[in-house]
Amino acid sequence: MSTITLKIKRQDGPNSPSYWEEFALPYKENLNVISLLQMIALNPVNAKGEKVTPVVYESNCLEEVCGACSMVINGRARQACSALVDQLSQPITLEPLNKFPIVRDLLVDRSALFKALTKVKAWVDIDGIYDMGFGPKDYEANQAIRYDFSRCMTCGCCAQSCPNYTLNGDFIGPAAVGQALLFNLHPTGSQLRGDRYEALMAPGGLFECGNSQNCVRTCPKEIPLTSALAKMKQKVTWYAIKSIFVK
Amino acid sequence: MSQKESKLEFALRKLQSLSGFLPLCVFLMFHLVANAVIMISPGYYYKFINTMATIPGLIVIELVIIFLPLILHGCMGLYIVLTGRNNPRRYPYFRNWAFLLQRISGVVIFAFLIYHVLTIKYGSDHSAATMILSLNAQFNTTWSAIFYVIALICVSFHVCNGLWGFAINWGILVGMRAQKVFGYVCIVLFIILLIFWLFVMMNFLGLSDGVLKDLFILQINGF
Repeated sequence: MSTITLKIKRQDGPNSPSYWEEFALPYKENLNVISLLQMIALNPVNAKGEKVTPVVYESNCLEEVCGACSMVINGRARQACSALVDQLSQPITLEPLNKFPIVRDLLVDRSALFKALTKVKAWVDIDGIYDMGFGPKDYEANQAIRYDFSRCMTCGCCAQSCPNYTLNGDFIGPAAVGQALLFNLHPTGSQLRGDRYEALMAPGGLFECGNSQNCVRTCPKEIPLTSALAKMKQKVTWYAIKSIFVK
Repeated sequence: MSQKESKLEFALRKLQSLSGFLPLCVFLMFHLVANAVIMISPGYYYKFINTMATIPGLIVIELVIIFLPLILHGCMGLYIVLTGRNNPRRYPYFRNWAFLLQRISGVVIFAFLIYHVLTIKYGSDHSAATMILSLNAQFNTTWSAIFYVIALICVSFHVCNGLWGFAINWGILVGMRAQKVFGYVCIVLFIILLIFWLFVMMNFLGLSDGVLKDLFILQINGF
């Protein structure tokens, strides 16, 4: 195989129509999808030999820890940097994540994911109006559970594969629920757990999840998202029942 | 609490999940066992149905335990179906297919129940004889027999897969191993339930000419 065939779903702007464009690139060993996009940027000529605008995409770390280069590769949401050409069937198809507003070509606006994190207060509140000193100590077993969830890079693959997560819907998605659990498990972060349960009960909250369990299958960091969703469903359900009598 | 957002949707979704199990799933089990009485003998079943009809306040029980939960579960279910974007061709996993089939079976059951309730429960008169005769007639008509078999497959699947979802939504199944194991249990339950339903259906289908004649005489005499 001397050439690599690449089909890219392109779009010139947020409201422009999308179209497919084919590229033929010389084969080299050990390429990843990002290097193909870099080759196009260097010489933006499509398979018909026409000069075109370079394909717009986002990438950063190139080692599957930042989540910026998430796109749909051969029908599956994943990172372009860890998608190795030698392991992909050809023609390789690249599409933007369609659960997020498209900015241009493969570049999407994933800010909905970060808004979801602010909704569930995915942080640890430290200090108030004065220095509160050291926080409580944590057990190693608890840290080990938290570690799994701390690997989330908000890449959007779980949301892209989720049938309940839509472009215009208000579901916060699996990643934010995993982060809510992460910070609830943190000894200091757990102070905000009531706020997080409330946020998960709000419209677009946890119970939009219909247990299709695609998220756990597509998560590149293999985060046990389905057990986070189930754990939070348990906690929120009890919190809601308790609220009826306590509040 | 900082944000005060409406909890209505949360409450409706929880009620939708709850009503699927209690009372609807429990009612369905009762419905199955009650109809399985025909396996003892058609005469015994006839007497049993007539006894059931004498329960005081039956209409209130039907309204509270069957109709209202059914309407809530069905309408909220249709809303959930319409807000989803199914993708099992791109992500062809067992659970993703089950997710789609849960929605398809739900819609089929919705249509079936309208037909079933209108023809059997509110068919003509309320007599047990008419009910048995019309079921027998429906099962002996090819298109409605096929509709019943499809509906029975859908109901058995919807209940068993729904039980799995219910167990997650109410925090009974948390771990991934537990979810997987209970998934297998639900497949076994589905097969058992479907076979049981089909057996009951066969008993209505294969009523002897003598029994049908007796029922017909009872029907024209207004029993």
